[in-house]
This record gives sequence, C-alpha cells and structure tokens, in this order.
Amino acid sequence: MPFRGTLAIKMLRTHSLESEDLALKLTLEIAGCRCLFSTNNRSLFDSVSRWRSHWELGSGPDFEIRVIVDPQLAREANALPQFRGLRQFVFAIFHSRETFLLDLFERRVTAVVSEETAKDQEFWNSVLIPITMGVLGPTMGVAPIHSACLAWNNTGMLIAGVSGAGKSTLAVALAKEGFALVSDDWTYARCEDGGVTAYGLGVPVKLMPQSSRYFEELAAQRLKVSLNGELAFEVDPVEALGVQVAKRCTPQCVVFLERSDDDESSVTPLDREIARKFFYKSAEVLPPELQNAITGRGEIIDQVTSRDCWLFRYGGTPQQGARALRRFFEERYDVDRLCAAAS
Amino acid sequence: MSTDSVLQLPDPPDLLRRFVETPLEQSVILEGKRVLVRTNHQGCYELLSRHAGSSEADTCDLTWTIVSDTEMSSDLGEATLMESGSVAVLSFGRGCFMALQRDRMELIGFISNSVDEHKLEEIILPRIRELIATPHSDRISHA
Repeated sequence: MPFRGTLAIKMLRTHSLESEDLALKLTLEIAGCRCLFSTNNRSLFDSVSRWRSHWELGSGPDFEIRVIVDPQLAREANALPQFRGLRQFVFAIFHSRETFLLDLFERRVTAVVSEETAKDQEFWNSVLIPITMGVLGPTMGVAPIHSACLAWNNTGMLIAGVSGAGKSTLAVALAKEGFALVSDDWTYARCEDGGVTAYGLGVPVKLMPQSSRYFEELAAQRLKVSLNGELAFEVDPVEALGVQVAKRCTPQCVVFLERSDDDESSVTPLDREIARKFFYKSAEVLPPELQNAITGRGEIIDQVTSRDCWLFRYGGTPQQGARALRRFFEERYDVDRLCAAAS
Repeated sequence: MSTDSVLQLPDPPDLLRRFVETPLEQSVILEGKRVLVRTNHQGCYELLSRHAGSSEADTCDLTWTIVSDTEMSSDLGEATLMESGSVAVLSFGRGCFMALQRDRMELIGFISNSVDEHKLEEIILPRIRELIATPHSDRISHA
C-alpha cells in the first residue's frame, strides 16, 4: 500500500472548529456586515471588541470568523505573511505556523493561532480584518475599492490613482484642511438604502518615507516594514497626525490624481467609463467559480462610478493640492448647504 | 484632458497564484478511490505514477489540484489539521497547505517546489491518504 510513511511522521495537531466547540461568541459589525466571531479564548474578545455590535443571532450573520487559540502553538517573529488562493479558498499564513482559511462559498474564516497572536490587537484590526473584508467582501455585497476616502460631514469624495500618485499623502493633507479621513488606501463600498455607502476600517495611515517632508509630525515616528515588505510610516491618523476620522460616508464624487511638473492645478471632468475600467482593472481577478461575487462587485463599481468623476492634476506640495481640491469641492458640492438641508 | 496616467494600470498580477497552470494530469487509485490528479509538481506526478495504481475509469471519486510554488519556503513544520464543517485544512508550516472540500470531493493546495519526493512520500502523501480515508465524524471524535 503506497504512502504509509515508513519514517517517523511529524506529529499531527488536530483542531475542530465546529461552532459548538467554540463557546465564546461575539457579534461584530464590519463595513456594514454582520459577523459572528467564535473562539475559545477570552483575550481574543478584547482584541476585536472595537467592532462589537448587537444584532439578533436569529437573523444570521453575513459571515463568520472561527478561531481556536492553541496555547502550545509558538509564534514565529519576522515572518512575512503568505497568501495563496484556488477556487473558493484563500490561504493566509502568518507567523509561520498560523494558517487561516478564507472560504468564499461559506463566507467563513477559520484559523488556529497562538496566544500571542490572540492578544495582538494590531494584527486583528489592521491586518486580519481588512484582509478578510478584501477577500470575502465581494461575496456579501461589499466591493473593495482602491482609493482613499474623505468626508465633509457625510458627503464623501473618493481619491483614486495609480500606485505612487500620492493618494495617502493628499488624503492626509485634505484631512488637515478639515475633511474627515475615512480611509487612505482601500475603501469598502456597499449598496444600501438605495445608494452607496463608503466604509473605512480605521486602519493606520501608510505614508512613504518622503512624506516626512510635508508632515512634521512624522519626525517623531519610526518607519516599519509594512505587509508588502515596503518601508513606510504606519501611524494612527488621530494620535500621530491630529486629524479627524469618520467610519463611513456617502460618496458624491471620484477624483483621479495625476501629478504634474508645475505648481498649477486643475479639475476637469473624467469620462466615467475610464473610471469604471480603472476600478475593474485594479480589482483582484477572481476565478469563474465566483461569478456571483464578480457580478456583485461589478454592480457596486458601476454605482460608485455613476457619481461625478473628475481628473485632478496638480503639482507643488500636497498642502497646495489639498487647498485647491477643497476649494473645488466646496464650490461644486456646496457641502454646508447640503448638510443643512439634510439636517 | 490628459488621461494617460489614469489609464496606466497594468493587468493585475496573480498575487494569490490562482491561475497557475496544472498541466500534469493522471487518474490513480488511492485508498480504493479513483482520484484525478492535476498538478505542475513534477515530483508529485512521478511519485504517484510509480506507486499508485492507475485508473482507467471515466469518472473519479475525488479530484486533487496541487500547485507547485517556487516562492514558498521548503520548511515543512509540524502538521496541523483544522476541521470546520465539510472542510478540512492540512498544513505543514509554510511549505505545504491544502484544503479538502468533502462535499465536493475536491482537494486543492500548494506545495513548495523545493519539497522533494522523499518528503512528499514520507510526510505529505501519508497525511493526505489518511485524510481521504477517514470519515469526518471519526476524525473529530479522535481529536
């Protein structure tokens, strides 16, 4: 009989992640989606408690996260995460031995983690939950949109552009001009109440090292290796930069950035078909098994790009760009009047 | 109006290796089951050719898709099995991880290209063989 393993086979650790085996349950709300979080470890509750929300279990979750904390599992430091996907599954490996499976058919995340990881709030809130929404989002009516998002009261503006265009830097500069920062890199759009709502996940702002030329507060911050291996500042926008944040808003327009060599700035209409193609092309390519998710995500992108689309060309500093864009936004959308009318 | 830079998006890279071709295909008999194996791992393909009985049947009980990955570590850590519903996940550190979807009778996964035939034969394939041979209810009761 083949493959009996004549050598000493490495020990097998077996974990059951059936719902009834995980006694501790927490109901969360993330980007408008209801999540049932189950675990066997109370410290993990504290790590994800910022998402806590009370909804009736009988109405069913949009997705589930099931995590077993294994006290005998050791966490390996300084290991870059690894992601692989096939069919409906995405594997995410963190800290060498902590395997997460994201099942896009079942809308479920399962994992076995160490106690150290269970207590690591930054991991859950800034890494695992954003990755989960990025992967599972399209299966539950949430489209990850590669853009920053700013809000003036509830009126939102998405800022998109190619990599290196300066989305995050301009987003922070706009936040310093009085906008509330919803997100600086990925925004999660969801169709609800007949419109589109844009959500942020409250993750740290990621700024490239050269941003310290424009934001003196960064001098007190340390660079760190980010998830994709880049060296960057990853800072809490409220604590480190003193700006306002918002969890969600209603986007009114999409602004695409284009840097120019002079100090002039201009805002011109952009064909929404170009905007649409940009977001389609910047989205992860999904396999044909996930046709429903592909269709649903496309419908949300179409909704987002049915808003006004603009091309914003600017040179000079991010502060100059932010002032110019704020003037345009105020004049075009008359946000104070809109807010007064809404209230 | 200039839209050149707005349009300068390359095709998105296959970051998750979802679309890697698995051109090596054969039908084998393992644990009395007809298994259709698709892979791009030469060592895995040859090992199964040598040691598993070939199947001439038109149908199969189980499909395996095993993707060989040149960027994964060859380190096979301790084997871990997670069971949740009809899905079982078997992983060996960063060098190999796979998921068995029992409802669809499908096993899919990734193996580091550096994992040699000896490790495949002695460490990984015996665990897969156990996984497909053991009913879900039995496995849970032993956990």
